[in-house]
Amino acid sequence: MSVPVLGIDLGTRYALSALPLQGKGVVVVPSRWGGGRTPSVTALTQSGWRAGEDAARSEMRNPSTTWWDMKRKLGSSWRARCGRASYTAEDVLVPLLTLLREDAEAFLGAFISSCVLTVPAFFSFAERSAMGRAARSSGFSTVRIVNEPTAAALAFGTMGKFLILDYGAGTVDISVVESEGGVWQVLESAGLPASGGRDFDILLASGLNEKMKLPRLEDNSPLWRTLLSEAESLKIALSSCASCEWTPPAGISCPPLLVTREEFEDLIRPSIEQVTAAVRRLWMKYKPSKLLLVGGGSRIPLLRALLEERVARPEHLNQCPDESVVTGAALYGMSPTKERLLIDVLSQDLGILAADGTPVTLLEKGLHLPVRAERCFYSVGSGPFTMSVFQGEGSARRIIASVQAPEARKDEEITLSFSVDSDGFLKIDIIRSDGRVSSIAPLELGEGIPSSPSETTAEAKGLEKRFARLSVSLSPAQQARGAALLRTMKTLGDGDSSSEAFDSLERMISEMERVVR
Amino acid sequence: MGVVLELTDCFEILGVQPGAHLREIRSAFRRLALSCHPDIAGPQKAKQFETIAAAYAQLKSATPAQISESLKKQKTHGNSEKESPFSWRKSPPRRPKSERRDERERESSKRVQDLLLEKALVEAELSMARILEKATRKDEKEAFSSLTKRLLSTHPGVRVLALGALSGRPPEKTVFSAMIEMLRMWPPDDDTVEHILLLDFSDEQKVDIAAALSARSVLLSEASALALLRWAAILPMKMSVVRKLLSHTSSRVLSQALARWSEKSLPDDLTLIRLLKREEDEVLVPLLRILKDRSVPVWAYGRVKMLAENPASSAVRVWAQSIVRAQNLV
Repeated sequence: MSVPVLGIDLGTRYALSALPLQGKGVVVVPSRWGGGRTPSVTALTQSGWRAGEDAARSEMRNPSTTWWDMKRKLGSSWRARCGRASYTAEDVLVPLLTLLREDAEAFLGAFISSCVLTVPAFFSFAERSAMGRAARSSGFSTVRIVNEPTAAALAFGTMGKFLILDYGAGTVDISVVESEGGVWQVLESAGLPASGGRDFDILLASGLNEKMKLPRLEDNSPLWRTLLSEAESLKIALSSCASCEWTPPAGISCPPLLVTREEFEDLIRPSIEQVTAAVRRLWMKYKPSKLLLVGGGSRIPLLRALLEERVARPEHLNQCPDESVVTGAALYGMSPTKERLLIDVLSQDLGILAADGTPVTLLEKGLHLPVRAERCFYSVGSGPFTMSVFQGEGSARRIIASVQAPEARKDEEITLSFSVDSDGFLKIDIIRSDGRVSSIAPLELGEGIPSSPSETTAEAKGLEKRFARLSVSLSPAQQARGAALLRTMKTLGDGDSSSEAFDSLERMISEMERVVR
Repeated sequence: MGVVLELTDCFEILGVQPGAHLREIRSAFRRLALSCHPDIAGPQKAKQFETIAAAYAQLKSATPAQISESLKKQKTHGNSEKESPFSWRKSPPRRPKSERRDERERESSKRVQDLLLEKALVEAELSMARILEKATRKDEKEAFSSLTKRLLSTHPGVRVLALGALSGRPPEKTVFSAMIEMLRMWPPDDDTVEHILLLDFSDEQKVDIAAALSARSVLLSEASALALLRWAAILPMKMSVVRKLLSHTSSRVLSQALARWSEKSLPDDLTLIRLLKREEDEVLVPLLRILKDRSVPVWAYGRVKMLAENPASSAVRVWAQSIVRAQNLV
């Protein structure tokens, strides 16, 4: 990765970015409007795409073309509609990521082309690659993906075993991390399907709506959007005071309402209970020594009280709970050294569905990244076939990709190779019995995107084999040089230059074979 | 996992005593990871890390009973395989002379073979270097596209940054058109103008830049308008820049522009009316000088006569009076 690397915490409600600066540690990048965080809002207006505060400001004017909560819609079939045009969630994220990159570039005074993105632990590989694609189209050439709670663990620099709960606006994640001697090892990462802070806004807003005795509002009506933003500030206020008086917006004939904390807590209790139970389960399993809360939701008094009562007292953080994730991401982006190495794990099982629909797991959850697995399968019929790749276990199993493989004979032996690199992306190779290899590049995974793998010939493999046979008659230095040449050829990718390189290497190897014989 | 390892091998891979406690195994795993995790040691160590991770995963999931069983098995197995420490190593017998000669010949042919191999390698390396060079040129194109993206950014800081990165060589065609687009989209601020005027352009590009900048002349600040005037002075089409800048509001810019007016005809009527209305003598003096050299339009006589009588500044009065006298306007 080329330095500098920007750490980005693209949240459901707010996005933050941070950069490691020489001599100053990690610094959160201020947005162009002055604040430390940028609203994760994108809008399509007549003058083009807008993002951040510009978009948030125009929300009341054009509510139907202003989108937030893109993150949870990544990789799904959801489409943003504007007139006749429709955009996928990753298209909508691009202006926002571009904005974050530009703010950081102006702050640093240099171009930035690599980033670390944080995602919720329950994100499948399809969603991760969608995120990667969005980052690539917004000008980042190298992207790494890391789980949000794991990044927060990296920011919290103490030794020992600890459990981290990241309570965000849209997602709730738990990681158990053990750190020892400069190595942060993730023991388990889990995402909860529970609702985040933004859903509390919606609950509270509809509660207010009922109290005002108004009919149910439409999602895109300006009054509903106003209520939502009022509910957000009310929710924040209720974290520090027992009751709050709220004046309805002008034009509504309704006296000021008194909202108490108890009322609000009754609304959110079910999901908080769910989170507490999940934390308790992992706490019993690993018996960590510390409990850390990060994210905006960690300020909810009810959550703290329930955790203290049933699990343990949350540790005091010496940094802002909103910034720990992004700080961790920036630290992860710094070139790994002996002082700071993160060993991440796979958070869900990964495998394929066999012909009769039974799942076959290739990579189990809990394996350390980077990881690779190969397995042989026999095709049951002839002709082209489709293979479904799944992730998750039990009822949470989701199909993340279906791979179209060309022509297969009956009983043909097909080797599948799954590899997850430490950047957090999945690559699938299909190796056929006649040596042909077709593969799906890490960023091309997902629904609706070319699912037919790019076919590459096995010629490169053939060259390697021939070279290996030759290497007995070469000196170690020559062997190393030859191997370096082969490696360079592989890095060229496909195109004219790679075929040229292939030809020249082919010439070299046949020449060598002639000489040796 | 593709690899299935014996439990005893796992202990060996991790470098711990067979039967070690899980805690020991875990810290051994972390120690090894520090030296061979591909993030630190590079991709060539990925295989090794894979083995270590597999060994660790296997030991972690194994039950104590399995471990003790495999340890027992190894003990009985290991004793029989051990080689006797008392075996003598025999020295190889001397070979006859003819064989030694053969060896020498073989050695010389080996050297020739070595040289030929070396030649093939070097050739391949050279052609690879050439191909790589071509590929980097393609990379450069990518760098251009990233520059284009940044030139059209919404953040003024990023745009200036991109202009700064351009310096030193004439901009490529697509980058240049992005620059023109940028000038069309955003009002040019001082930093932008300063950076642009410092760049190396080809002659046609200079013409385009001058046209794009002078089209936004009303939005230019005084300093950048003056800089643009100075920069355009050596261009063949400088007069169009001067003409556009005559609509600027700053009197200093106007006086500089008027001083550079070298055409036979006068500026167009609307501009003349606007300029004659100004009060500052730094505008009026060069304007009256131009009017005197060329013919004064009839509608301007009244204003010139007024200037000749209105003694706000002596220089204006003198120039106006000289026009009145020369044209016999009394």
